[in-house]
Amino acid sequence: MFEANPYNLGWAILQWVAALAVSGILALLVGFVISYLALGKKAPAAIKDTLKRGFDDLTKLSGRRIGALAYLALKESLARRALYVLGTFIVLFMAANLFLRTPEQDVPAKPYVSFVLTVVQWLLIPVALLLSCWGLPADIKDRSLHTVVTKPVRRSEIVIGRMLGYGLMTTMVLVVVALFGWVWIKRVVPARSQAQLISRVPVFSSADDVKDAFFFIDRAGNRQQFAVNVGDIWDHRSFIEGQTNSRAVWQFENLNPSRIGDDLRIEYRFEAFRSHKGNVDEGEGVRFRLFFVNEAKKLRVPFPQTGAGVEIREFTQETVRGATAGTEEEQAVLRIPRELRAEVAGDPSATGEKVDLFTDVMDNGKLQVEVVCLDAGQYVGAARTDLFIRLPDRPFAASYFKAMFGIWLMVLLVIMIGTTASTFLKGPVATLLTFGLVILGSPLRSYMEEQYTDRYQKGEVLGGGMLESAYRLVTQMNQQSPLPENFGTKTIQVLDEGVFSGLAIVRNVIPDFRHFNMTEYVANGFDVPFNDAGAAVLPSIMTVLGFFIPCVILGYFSLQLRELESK
Amino acid sequence: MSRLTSRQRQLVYLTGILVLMAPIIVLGMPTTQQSGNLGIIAQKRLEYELGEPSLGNVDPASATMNLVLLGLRGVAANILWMEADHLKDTKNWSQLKSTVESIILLQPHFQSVWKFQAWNLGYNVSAECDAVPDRYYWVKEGVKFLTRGTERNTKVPELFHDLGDYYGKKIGRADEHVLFRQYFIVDPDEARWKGGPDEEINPNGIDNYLVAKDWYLSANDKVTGGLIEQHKMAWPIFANYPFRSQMDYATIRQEEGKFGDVTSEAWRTGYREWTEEYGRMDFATPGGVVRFEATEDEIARLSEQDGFPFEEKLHWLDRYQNMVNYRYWRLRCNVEGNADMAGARGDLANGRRLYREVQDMEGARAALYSSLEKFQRVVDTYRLPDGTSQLLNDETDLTESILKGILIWRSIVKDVFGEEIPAEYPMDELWNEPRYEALRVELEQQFNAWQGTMAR
Repeated sequence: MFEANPYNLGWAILQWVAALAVSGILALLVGFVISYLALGKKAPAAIKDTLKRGFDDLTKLSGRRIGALAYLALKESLARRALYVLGTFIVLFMAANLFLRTPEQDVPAKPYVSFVLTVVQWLLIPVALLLSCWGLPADIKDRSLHTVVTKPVRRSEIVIGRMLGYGLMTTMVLVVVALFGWVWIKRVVPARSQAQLISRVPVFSSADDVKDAFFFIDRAGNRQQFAVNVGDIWDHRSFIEGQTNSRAVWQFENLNPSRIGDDLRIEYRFEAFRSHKGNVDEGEGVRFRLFFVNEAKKLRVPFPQTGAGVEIREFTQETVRGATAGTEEEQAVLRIPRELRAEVAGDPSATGEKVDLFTDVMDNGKLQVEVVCLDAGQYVGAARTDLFIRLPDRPFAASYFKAMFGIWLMVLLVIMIGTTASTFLKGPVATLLTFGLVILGSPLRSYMEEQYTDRYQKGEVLGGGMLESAYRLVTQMNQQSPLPENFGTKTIQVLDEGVFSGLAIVRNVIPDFRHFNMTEYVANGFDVPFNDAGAAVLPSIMTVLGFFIPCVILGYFSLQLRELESK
Repeated sequence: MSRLTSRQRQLVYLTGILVLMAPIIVLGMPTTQQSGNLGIIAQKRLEYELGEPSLGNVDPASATMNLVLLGLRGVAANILWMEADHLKDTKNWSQLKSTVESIILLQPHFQSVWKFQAWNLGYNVSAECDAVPDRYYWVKEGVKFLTRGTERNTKVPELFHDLGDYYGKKIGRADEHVLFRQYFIVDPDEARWKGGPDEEINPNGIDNYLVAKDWYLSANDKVTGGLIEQHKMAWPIFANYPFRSQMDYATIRQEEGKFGDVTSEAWRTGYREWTEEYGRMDFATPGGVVRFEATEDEIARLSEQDGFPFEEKLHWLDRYQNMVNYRYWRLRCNVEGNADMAGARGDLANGRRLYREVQDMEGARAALYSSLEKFQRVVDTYRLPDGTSQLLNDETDLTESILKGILIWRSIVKDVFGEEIPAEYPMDELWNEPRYEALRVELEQQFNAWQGTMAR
């Protein structure tokens, strides 16, 4: 998941505080009701006592005791043979792929990288899940926890110690697997695709309003958010028609020429759509030209300056092209010199005045880039992220290990949730709960967000909510048909509204695991961004930190208030 | 039961397990020469050639994967199919390919997987790319994938036949076929193949239609000798593909302006194979067995053998010959293999080239006249008793080519040299034939329009 917009840290913190406060108040209310039922009038005093002790236990922590408890948890998990089995399985699985397959020369690096990162995730999550969800219940069952609680340790320290211990354990496994995966990639990726193992640093178009960052001009000269739809199922790209006024416009801001280097490197990944075959026997591709525009100075600077324009090179990461493998040509990179000549209005063949891209065309770090298609009757498809300025590359290891860092944070989050769940649930139920949260937070999260956006931003969900969908399913009614106007329909809609409200609340406390999955960047040869609203380092760290505090509080109170006798 | 001790209960369970396992052991034992009635399942598997090794190459990774997934193979395959569809929609080709590889690990003997996904790579993905070398790359990926399908499923004729289609129809007839055919001999990936063909698909560096022919022949062998039926098309049509591929090879050579001995020989080979191999095959029809090249005696004998009257047999022979256009292709091969025909086509192409490109009017006039003379000789050879020519009746392409030749020749004589058109000249019967009036007028209009363009 990649958004190309920065992560809104302030808003995230605000949301976190609100969620924590609401959950805290709710927990207090529930606690009060329960204790009132059990203790009657003594309830307020008991709650006050518990809270006071809780505050002490949560604030007066001892690093030494936590360390000792973590060491204990680590030793325990090392003693579990299941871990060795899993470790062996990881190695075997990757080794099997290393030796059993016939090596192919024409496979790009992308599937290999994606394979390693996916396998590591798939294998580490179950390890974390089982370790964290079964540890405490097993200790409670065989009463080994009793020996711990009789020692002078706080129960909050037990929770944190557990999390830390399991975290250390999985960190060790992850380090081994990450290094193994690194060697595996280096060994298995064919020689000709090794050049695709890079870490590009892109600068995408941006503006205060995202609509200004990228837009289209249609053939009549009007500004539009979308251009021609050529009937592609994937509506990611919009298409501009060749030899017309149509163009795609990107606006960059906050550009710093000193970071860019001598030449401006622009990388593109457009798609061609042909309405006629063109000169196919000559193998000619659809062509386009770039324009650097400064509206205020009425400057339009074409690139290439003369000639037939630039040929579209589609899907450069998807194939291995022999001689051009790994070159800038293959990666569809245009190297634009600083010194160019502006266009003379109304005379495309004339050479205009000399301009400097960084000083004359760029305006306070702002740069407008336009793309026009040069072939009549053909179309160029573009999306916002299809054109970006490429800063000097970083080594592949940078993005690979950042992605592993993302996986590590994800595993930590699973451990935190698992450990917390195991303080008040038995092993299997805790596993189910944690696994459910992982599923809700990862594959189902996009669906949940889609439903939420449709309902609360677009105003309508196609096919309605849960009950309405069920009704349509049973009666075999399609999603567009209106429901009959009667009492039943009204009831369904009211109940569905309740479900949507529930969804709106719950989505604030279900972790968004999509932030951690940085596989796509690494596989496609991009650096993992630090700050992006999608998958990136900063939101991953914030998510883990955000869950750490409530998990510890919840885990502590659960352990504090529960009966530790095995049932 | 409650009166039994724990140990006793365990013994009861153990006995039950052993009793239930006994038939499994007996039925499932590996078969050996001495096994007698034991290992029935293994024996049956051998008898019906259903074991992994008899279906095709064994892939250890595939077997491991199926074991590891326990009973979840179906679920995993479903998820992967959905994933593959999504990757295709979002144009993530390399990952589509690797996902397809995973599907294959799970469903190696499901022929639709091979067909569907090879089509995806070779046709759908290929068409998405703008650069022709990229399109060719994906066609090759489709071909390589399907080739592996034939290795894993050595008894499925349709996969072999499909592969023939990829080599013949995709490489030979796509919009980009001119470049694809060149790439088939000289691969665009020069860094790897050093100016030669991609050895994984064309190790001998021969024409794509000849490679297609070999695959079609293998498909026929699988049908006649194997266990698995083909449900692609009627058997007489299915069976004629290798022989038609030979003709496609000869035809494309002519289209590419190659009229030498190799092309004539290709047609003669086509004729020989069409009449002596394909024509001698037996096909079952509702009127019993027929053979396209059967003599009257043979037809009588066949009719005697299966008890259908001679007339009925002839009726079904005619219907089946029509189904595959048998007589036309026999005539075509025969004519094209004729030295005069090759000469006529060569002279016609040369005449048109001299007229259009070299502007050598004298040379063009001579070449076109020589071509018409040779055409006349060929047409006379195939004259029917009623005086019409069998060749001109059946061959509209040929008629059009000859008319074009006459048109240019007449234009040179009249417009360039200012001479009168002779009252009689070779192939004038075609020019004066009322049946072709409309075609002639259309060609004249096209020619004049083209001349006009040239004049500007």
